[in-house]
Amino acid sequence: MNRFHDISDLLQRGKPRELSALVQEELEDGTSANDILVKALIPGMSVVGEKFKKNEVFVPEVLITARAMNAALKILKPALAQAGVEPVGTVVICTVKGDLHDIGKNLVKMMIEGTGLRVIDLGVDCPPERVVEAVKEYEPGVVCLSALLTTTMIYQKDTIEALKAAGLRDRVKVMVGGAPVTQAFADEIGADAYTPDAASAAEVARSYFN
Amino acid sequence: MEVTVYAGEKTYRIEGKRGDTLLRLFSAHGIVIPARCGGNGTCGKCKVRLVSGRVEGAVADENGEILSCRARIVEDCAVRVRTETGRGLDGFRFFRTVSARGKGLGAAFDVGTTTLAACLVSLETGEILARTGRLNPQSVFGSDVISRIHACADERNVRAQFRAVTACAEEMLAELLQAAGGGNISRMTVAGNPAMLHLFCGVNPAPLGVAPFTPVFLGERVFSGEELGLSVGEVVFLPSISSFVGADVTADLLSADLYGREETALLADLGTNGEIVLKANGALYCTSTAAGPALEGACIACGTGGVAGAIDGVGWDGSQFRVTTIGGKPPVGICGCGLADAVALLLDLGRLDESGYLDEERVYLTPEVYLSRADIRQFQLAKGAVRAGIETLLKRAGVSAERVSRVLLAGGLGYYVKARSAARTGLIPPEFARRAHAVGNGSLYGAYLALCDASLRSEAKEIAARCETVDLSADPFFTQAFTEGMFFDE
Repeated sequence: MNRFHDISDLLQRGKPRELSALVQEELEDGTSANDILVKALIPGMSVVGEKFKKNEVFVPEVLITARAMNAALKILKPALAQAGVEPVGTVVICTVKGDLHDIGKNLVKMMIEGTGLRVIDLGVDCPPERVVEAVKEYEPGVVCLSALLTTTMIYQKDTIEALKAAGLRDRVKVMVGGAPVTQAFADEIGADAYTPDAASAAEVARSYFN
Repeated sequence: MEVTVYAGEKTYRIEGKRGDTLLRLFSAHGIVIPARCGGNGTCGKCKVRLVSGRVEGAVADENGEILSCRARIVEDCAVRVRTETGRGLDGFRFFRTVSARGKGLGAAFDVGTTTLAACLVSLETGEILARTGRLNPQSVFGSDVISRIHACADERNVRAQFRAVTACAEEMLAELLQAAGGGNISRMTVAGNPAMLHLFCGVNPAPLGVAPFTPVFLGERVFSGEELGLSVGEVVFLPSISSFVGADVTADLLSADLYGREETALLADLGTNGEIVLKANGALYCTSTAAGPALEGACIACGTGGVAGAIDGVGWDGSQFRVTTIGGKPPVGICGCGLADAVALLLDLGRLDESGYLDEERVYLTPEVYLSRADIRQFQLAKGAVRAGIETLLKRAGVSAERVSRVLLAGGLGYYVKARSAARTGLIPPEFARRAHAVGNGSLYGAYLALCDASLRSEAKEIAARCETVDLSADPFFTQAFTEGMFFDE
């Protein structure tokens, strides 16, 4: 008798300590780490993501849930590695050059991690060259670019251009987001996707690895 | 080609070229309509009704309205617009007084992002002879500072914004002189945020828009009136503190007399950017927190600025909402202080929980004006940022909210917001509820003080030099306080 429902519930309520204890117990009972991840934690994150999109929960709740998720992942990681389970894929994320906002970017990062993907975070004020280097080094399937200022959105474009110039544009999907960004702007600069919120961003990023 | 614009009682006929957007044509002809996002096509506030003719780039919505920032003219057409009127805040309540010893007339000017305010002063007596205020005509380039800076990517818009604001200032000065029976203005002092001051003298503020956010100038500057196209002898810009904390805050501090007095006090100037200054342990700590435009009524479904007809107060009579509006006009939308009132009330009524979850999809305050779940979320972001800014400064200075003996709320929102609503919603710490005073336009009053007494210009320089700017983006405590600050108290 597994306790996937209880695990998902503790995750949604953002209880890292109780969640960690239960995940540990479940592992000791012989449930596979991958099942706990795929059948309890990821569905739990999706529920929170859906509620977030409908404005039923907000940034603080998502952050609390994401913290609990991180705690659970820490416990699962050794077991996942032992069982030879690889992350489904890798995503590189950053806030673009000239922009120091990181709360939105961090939220997207945690939501994406909640789908089971590995995320490489390049931080804020990230010049296009750093993104190019990271794509070479980590070979991600997706690059996410955040910009919170109308004056820095333009660096999303510059980053896409830099990826083109380096001959890497076809190897990655580029997603853009941030308060001033629109679908029209994303189309104009040749991004693959624009998402209006962290939950949709995680969903779209995950869909690229199906 | 000709565009006919119906605005209330007035009709304008304006000339444009094929491909011009309606919004830019309006701005070029002094027709002020809301355009919060600066023509980005995202805020939906600049909608107009197409009465005849055809435009390109914009599709009519279910009400037959089009976005004027997207619509490009291709033939003669006619549109009906809703113009905005507003006065801006020219009131203040400060204890500090000044003795004037000069001659003739002077003017004090506050160049705010949203509104402009000015007063005419006798330099012999210090008496304020006349006051006036207007909406900042640069609003067609966006309602917030960053949009205005962004517009300057096209160099011509530096000139256009410079001309728009100085022409409006010149009109205001003429109006003041007329009210006072004529004369000449020998000196004008100006306070405002750094970007507004850059644009007021035609300097491109572009470097203020991207990290590392370097200003072209911060210190006091003196121009001849002629250089700026103003009929005054000389124009003095008060000094700014840093890229984000401008001469408006320097002026606030002069007004509140925070520099000289030994006390623990806090001043918050609330708007799109919340500037906060804490005086503690003999030092001044300041910061600017990106509250976002919600407190100015933008990005709120039925939001509006502090214009005639904006809902500025919300009450409950036991069965339904009772609203008050600016100027007692029929409600056209809700402004920042109405929003704070509504949120405080919904919390009290138990229709909104401490996480910010609203029971219903929409709450109708009047048959037309409502608040949505998304609006509450926008308010939470704004108040979380202001509150976190306050908490971060308190922590930096190592003092508790309890120890702050005087709290001054400046700026338009600060003047009109009820201290109880500000505390109930957590915009300010609950300890501040009984110590908060609305002081009004501290920027204008500070400019007035420095106009009458030149020694206060030295004090302004010392304030600008001594005030320590706290960078929130680099502070992990801020992020944590921001997250916690989004919740409401039970």
